[in-house]
Amino acid sequence: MRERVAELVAKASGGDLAVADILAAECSLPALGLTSIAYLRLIDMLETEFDCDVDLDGGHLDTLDGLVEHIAGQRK
Amino acid sequence: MSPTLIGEGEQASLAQHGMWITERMGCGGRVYHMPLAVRFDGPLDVDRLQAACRDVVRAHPQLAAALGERDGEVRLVPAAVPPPIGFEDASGFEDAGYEAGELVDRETSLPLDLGAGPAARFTVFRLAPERHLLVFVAHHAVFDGMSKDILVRDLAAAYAGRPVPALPLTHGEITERENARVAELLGEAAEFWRDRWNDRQDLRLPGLSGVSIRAAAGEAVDFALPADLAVAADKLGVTRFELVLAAVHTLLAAYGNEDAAVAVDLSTRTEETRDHIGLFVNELPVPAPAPAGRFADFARAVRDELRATYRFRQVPLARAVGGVSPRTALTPVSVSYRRRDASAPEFPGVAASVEWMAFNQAVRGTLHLQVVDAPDGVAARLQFNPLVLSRSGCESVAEHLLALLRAVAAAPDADVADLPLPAVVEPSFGRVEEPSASARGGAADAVPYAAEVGEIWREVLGMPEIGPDEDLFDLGGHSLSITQIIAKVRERMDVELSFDVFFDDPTINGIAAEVARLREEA
Repeated sequence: MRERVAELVAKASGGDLAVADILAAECSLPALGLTSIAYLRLIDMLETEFDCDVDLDGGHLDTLDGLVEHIAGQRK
Repeated sequence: MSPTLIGEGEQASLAQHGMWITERMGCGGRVYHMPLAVRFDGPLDVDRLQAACRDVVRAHPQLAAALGERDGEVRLVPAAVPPPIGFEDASGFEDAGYEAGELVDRETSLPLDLGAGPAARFTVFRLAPERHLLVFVAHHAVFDGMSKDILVRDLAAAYAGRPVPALPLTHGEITERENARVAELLGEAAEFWRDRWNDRQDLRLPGLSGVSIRAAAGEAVDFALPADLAVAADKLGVTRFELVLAAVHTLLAAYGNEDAAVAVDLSTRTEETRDHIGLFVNELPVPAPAPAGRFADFARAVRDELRATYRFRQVPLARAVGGVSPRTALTPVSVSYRRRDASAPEFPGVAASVEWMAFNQAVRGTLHLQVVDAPDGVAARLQFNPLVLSRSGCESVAEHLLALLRAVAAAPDADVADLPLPAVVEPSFGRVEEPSASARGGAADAVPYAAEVGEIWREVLGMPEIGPDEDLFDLGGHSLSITQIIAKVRERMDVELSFDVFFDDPTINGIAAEVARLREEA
């Protein structure tokens, strides 16, 4: 799932970010250059693809692993 | 997180110190993020707007400041990361079904860093060739409600090519004067609060299942206060703020709350600081007598109480009395009221409209009433913690408040008994006892390091005798005591305490146990 979420991050960024960079990043997605608009697009994509609710409030959702964990928790 | 060790710097204000500690104890977060949004219709010059943002940051150094601790003192230094001033092309964003408000929410959720910066951030969004949205978010430690007016005013001036006026004082000078005033009043303030402050955490409200004085994700119920509020206040001989506060107290009493205090945000600005962006607010509790007789008389009694408090408006409650742990709300129910006289800002060539009450989706306690009183209407918002108060309960409170204010406006001479008041609410939950550290047994000398920690406590608090299980805050400790204890423990015991331990177990034994744990880990 980690790879798939990274693909969606790349897609949401409109191609500005590469999947490999997202997977390798040690910083948060905004620090990597994910814009606010791309982030909102990403949330929609994740909610559609994984049929889950992504709560916008959590700062922990700013990293790839944070997102993956959150979605995994939602799907239980 | 280890404290940032810094070089020279100005002293942080008492309010900043308190907020810094609360943040470091993990109790702040989004509740301290203050968003402001400006919509521009027309041919906006984005470069010029971004340059104006830079001018405003230059004119208001607080926005580019960071807070750091050194030798037990919190100081202001230039942030390693100044406020970013970004641009995002969001053309077609609204056509895709998104709303501008979502951008404000997203920007508000981005982290701000008081230790390294940024403490604020600007982003300009292009929604269409001639439609833009500026989203500004600042940390409350460097910003407040009135700062919003100053920010928009100075942005408009800079955009129009007018210089942003230089500020009369540095922050260090302001803090020095403020500290001198507080030091002078501290004894009197302690006397003043002794009989007035009662740290009550019980509460009755419709739809309530618990009480919180900690920041949490919040929801909001928006409504407008009656247009004739001003007329009613005039007839009662009180201000609009005093009328709203008296109404809140009347409602709380009707729900069955006896001797409830309502914390209010008081401005600590003076003539010298009126044009400064920064934190110039102190939250203080206002108690009230039991509402009875004529409502007008009760409202004037609340006014008298508030006026008496004004004398001590610059003294943080935790400095004047003991037992106030760092928290985001002094009381479960709080009120902030802001008058906005300023007319709409003028940005040449474009129409600008400001969202003054952009919501940070967080609440400082259980229920917070925010009122912004502007020439075009009095807007109110009840922010509530949905984990302890239901939405329908909060909506009932809004309806009850409106019904009461309308009735007062219609009949300013009415007796409290003749006003439309809600019925008493039965307590919906048992009293929640905080787990007490003193519940733990064991003699003082059984805990390693307790003797050394105890000596540090006695020095910091200036007391000859302190029991190993006595609570720091009950002893009169406050945010400064915490930083001093951390600094002394670092210096003498070579251990870096976290702030969390002061929340979990603020006793000599608690700190000693933490020292032992950290030593073991090292």
